[in-house]
Amino acid sequence: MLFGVLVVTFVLIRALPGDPAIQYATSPSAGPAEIEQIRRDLGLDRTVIEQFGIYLGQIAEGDFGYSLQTGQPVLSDFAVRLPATLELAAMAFVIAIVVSLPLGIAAAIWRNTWFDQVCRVLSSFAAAMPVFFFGLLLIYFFYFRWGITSEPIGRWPAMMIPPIPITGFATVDAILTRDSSLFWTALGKMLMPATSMAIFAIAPLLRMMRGAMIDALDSDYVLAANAFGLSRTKVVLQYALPNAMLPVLATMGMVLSTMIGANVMIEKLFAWPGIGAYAVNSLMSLDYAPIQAFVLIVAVMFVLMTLLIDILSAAIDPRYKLKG
Amino acid sequence: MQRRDFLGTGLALGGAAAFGLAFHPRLARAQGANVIRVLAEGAPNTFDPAGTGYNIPSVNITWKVYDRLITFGQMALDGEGQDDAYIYDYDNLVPQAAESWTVSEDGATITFKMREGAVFHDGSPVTAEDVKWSLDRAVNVTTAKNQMGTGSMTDPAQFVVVDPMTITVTVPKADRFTLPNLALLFPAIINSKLAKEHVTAEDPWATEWLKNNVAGGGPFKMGQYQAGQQFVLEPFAEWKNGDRVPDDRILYQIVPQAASRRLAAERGEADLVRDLPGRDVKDLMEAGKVKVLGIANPATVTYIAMNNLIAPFDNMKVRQAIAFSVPYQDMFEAVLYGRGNPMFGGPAEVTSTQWPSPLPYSQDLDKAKALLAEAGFPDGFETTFSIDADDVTVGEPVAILMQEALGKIGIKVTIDKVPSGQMGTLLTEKKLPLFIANAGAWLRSPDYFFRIFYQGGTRWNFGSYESPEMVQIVADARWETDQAKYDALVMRMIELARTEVPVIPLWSAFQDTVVSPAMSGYTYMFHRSLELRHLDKKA
Amino acid sequence: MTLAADVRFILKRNFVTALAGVLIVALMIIAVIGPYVVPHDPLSTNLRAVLVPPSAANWFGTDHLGRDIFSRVVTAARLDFAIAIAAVGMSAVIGTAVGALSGYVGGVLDRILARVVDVMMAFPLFVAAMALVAVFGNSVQSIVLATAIINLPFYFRLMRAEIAQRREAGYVEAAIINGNGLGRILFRFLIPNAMPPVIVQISLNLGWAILNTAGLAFIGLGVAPPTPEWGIMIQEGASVMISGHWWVVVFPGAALALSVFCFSLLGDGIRDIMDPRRRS
Repeated sequence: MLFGVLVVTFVLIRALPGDPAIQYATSPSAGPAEIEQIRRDLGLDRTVIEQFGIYLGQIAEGDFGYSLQTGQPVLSDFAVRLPATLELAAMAFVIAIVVSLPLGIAAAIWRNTWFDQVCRVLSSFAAAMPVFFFGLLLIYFFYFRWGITSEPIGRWPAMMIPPIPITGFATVDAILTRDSSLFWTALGKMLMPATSMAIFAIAPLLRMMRGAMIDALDSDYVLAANAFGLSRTKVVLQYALPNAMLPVLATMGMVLSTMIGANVMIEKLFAWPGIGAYAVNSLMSLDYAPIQAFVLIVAVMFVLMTLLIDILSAAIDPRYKLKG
Repeated sequence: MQRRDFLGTGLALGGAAAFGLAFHPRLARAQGANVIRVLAEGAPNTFDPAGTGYNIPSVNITWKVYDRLITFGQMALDGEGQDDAYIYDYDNLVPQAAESWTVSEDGATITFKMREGAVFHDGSPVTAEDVKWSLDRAVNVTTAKNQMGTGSMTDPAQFVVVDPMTITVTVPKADRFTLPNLALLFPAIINSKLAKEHVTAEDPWATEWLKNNVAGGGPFKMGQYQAGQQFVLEPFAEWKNGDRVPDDRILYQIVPQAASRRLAAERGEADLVRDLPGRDVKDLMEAGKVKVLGIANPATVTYIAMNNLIAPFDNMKVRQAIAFSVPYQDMFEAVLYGRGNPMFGGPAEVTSTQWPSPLPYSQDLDKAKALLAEAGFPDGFETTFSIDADDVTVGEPVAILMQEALGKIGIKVTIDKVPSGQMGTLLTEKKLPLFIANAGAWLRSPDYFFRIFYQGGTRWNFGSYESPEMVQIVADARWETDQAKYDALVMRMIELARTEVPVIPLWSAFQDTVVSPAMSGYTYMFHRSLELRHLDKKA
Repeated sequence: MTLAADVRFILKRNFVTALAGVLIVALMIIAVIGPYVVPHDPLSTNLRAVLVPPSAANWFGTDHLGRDIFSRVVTAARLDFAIAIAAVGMSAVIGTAVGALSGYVGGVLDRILARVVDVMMAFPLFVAAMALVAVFGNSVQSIVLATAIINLPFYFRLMRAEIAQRREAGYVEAAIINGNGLGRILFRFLIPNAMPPVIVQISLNLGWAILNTAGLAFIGLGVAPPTPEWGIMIQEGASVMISGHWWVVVFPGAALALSVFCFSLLGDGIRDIMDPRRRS
């Protein structure tokens, strides 16, 4: 599958209209000869098959090439940006789970009451909210109107010298260096973009949690447990919940991988120095190497995620068969 | 304004209370007497002064860490609020790495004397050998060689080392562009001993190594560098090639969001802020708390370009009709917020060789309609106006206003937003009928300007203008040494540009820079990137 | 029970769904007749009245070029809905047809197609849509095509699973014995029976497609200015939002959210109605 992704990406970017050799012939007096020279330098004068062969060879050696835009090796660009994206996605994911799972469980327990209806409207509302619009609303109220958050731009306050990264995850680095003010600064900066990102994850998680919980509560073993006179809390937490987690886990995987790939708009809106915004800029400026690497990395994460979900599912439910 | 004042203080306090921002020890470190904090939009992509695909932000490094043999002098600006600000003086070349130079009788040989005691950052002396290698490199690497050619420098054999401290540059015949070309970005003096250690068979000019390493002797040394985020330029204490050794450290931070840069400028947190949209600059000036230096590069112009090769724009009357339909003043105020010099509404007669200068057009829809009818398009026609998708602040509103204005004379315009990566290709292939373009010439002689923008096959001839007369007089002016004859030729070029309007100049936009009150010595250079060595920050 | 009574029964139990349906019909009507009844020309600029807050003359205020936001928001509905409907229609038709064939025939064809779809699913959706729009050229047609392509896998998988499940069903065997051909079995017997989940998917997908279109336009792809479109309007307003001109963003954003909200509620409702387990 990864090979398929490689091929499709490779062909697709070369189908982009526009010629990188011209794009990067930035000298004010560049003529056709210069453009031709740059094309040769970039290796774009070869056939696509040849280029692909070279590309595969490089990947096998762990060489993802150079970004023309930043002038850096693609790998070192990703080393800086991937942690930023992952950290933000993780925080958004946590927010989404903290909000949606309890609500979903509660909605299932008090099924068809006003609370359930409110949850339903809430989840539809969250699903309908364009993330970029929600982000703008947050910026308007929390930053502009009430002034309770720092400026909605980037990972660090503009007047601060970014610390030298250790892991690249700002919060983890802050913990490692025992710098509590750094920790809160980093966390504060993530709050708005992460909340905006969480909004689209809330709906699928809440719905799936509610649905799965209803199925679990209606199942024979829960009815049996109820019949035994076990306490309601115990029944819900010990019997129903673990069984309901299986489909929720699958949804979580889906949501998390979407978050990593589809955070482009949030990264653009909040000037977050992550891989999404980087990939978009590369796409727009015909910078082939970073796009290829981006798609490959996201695909690999997708595969790993699926595997992880599989393993977790097996851990929860012994009957679950590992696919991998 | 109330709102903004509130933001300034309330926000800092609120933010501090919520997240412990303002009291963070790191905040203080960025400030300080001998650090000049610069905020700009783009990140550099190479350290090589003639690197393939170099971008404009990288000039902010290469211009400072390398010297050239000679450079442009500076002259004081005299505009309102421009005290203690300077602009480069194209007509006054001054020594830099060279201590002095002499030009032979026939003007074809220039002899440069190197400066005794001048050293590179690694302490090794700057010699004629280094200059020779650097110039050889400039006429060989892809990015630089064409530009060097415009100054008649094409072959390494033209650069001869006479003795360790003397080098001659010989051109086939005296060329007014040889010296200015030596003051541009590309012929930077590289520490050849250092660079040669990294030369390989495939890479005789050490391009791979110089991309990520500096081998220069300029007024600044490369300090800490975090790609895409920030870098530090350290003053080079042993620098001898200028009148004043800079003593402030430069902290250059990349802040992609305009709103963020504006905020920092507003709160006085930065010493120098670049790349702000007109609206923000106007607001900042009205608030009056910061100093804004708006300096127009006299040779940088924004155009509405028409493809003279494609009907109906091959018809001069059609082009004139369009020139008469542009809502110049509205655009100038609503899009540019008046931050520039108009290139419209000029006098009817050509009175001087000053170029670019305002063209004799302003909006006159009746005249435009009449011209369109004369051209055989009484009912107008359909066309496409292309803009760069990234050009949201200027291109998009200009396109929308043009669409509306042209609609009034019967021309139906569709706007096409082209991803920036494709724009260059489309321009080079000369496929766009109508578009917006912005470009500047590095060398300021009028004939050079017309040679680049009003003839020839490169993308810079935005109008794809092919007038045999223009080609002829531009060629004639190339080697004309008689000033009166040269002026007559230039007058004719200007006349052609005015009557045939292959492209419609709109304005020469200001390069706006917000500077803190502590700063002095701001200088504007031809390349539009920052010139930092004259800057001084009061403690 | 008569059909009318049936409908009444369902609607009574699904008030929210009914409301969403009514709202969607209203939005559709606005989309169709809106452009003819708006108070201002949505394209005409007025540089002497830029960024005017909502007032009696401009109900939703004006934008950075003095255009009437109310007129633009209303006019935009048509384009956004048209793109969503066209894109979802396209992927639903192609996706179900190919999915059904793959599920019914099985074998090598099925395996190849499933692999292809796996590859498609491994791409980050939004980035894939962006790349496709960039490849096809910056136009509305490209958005439709790109949105259709990235949605294909969902319909394919859904239909393939449904059909594979029903392939062995008694009525299919009966149909085969009666001498029906492949096409007839698929389109006459199998697909209609497998339609309910597809319909649910379509109704959920429509809202998503509107979001996707607006998202692409927000990034600057697909819709050319000055065409009124919600995503592009939000993007234009984003730069002035921070200086307090909220109306440029809020009205198109609200229109966008409301539309997607209605589709999403309707989709949920339809699913509840069609899934007998959930109908108490």
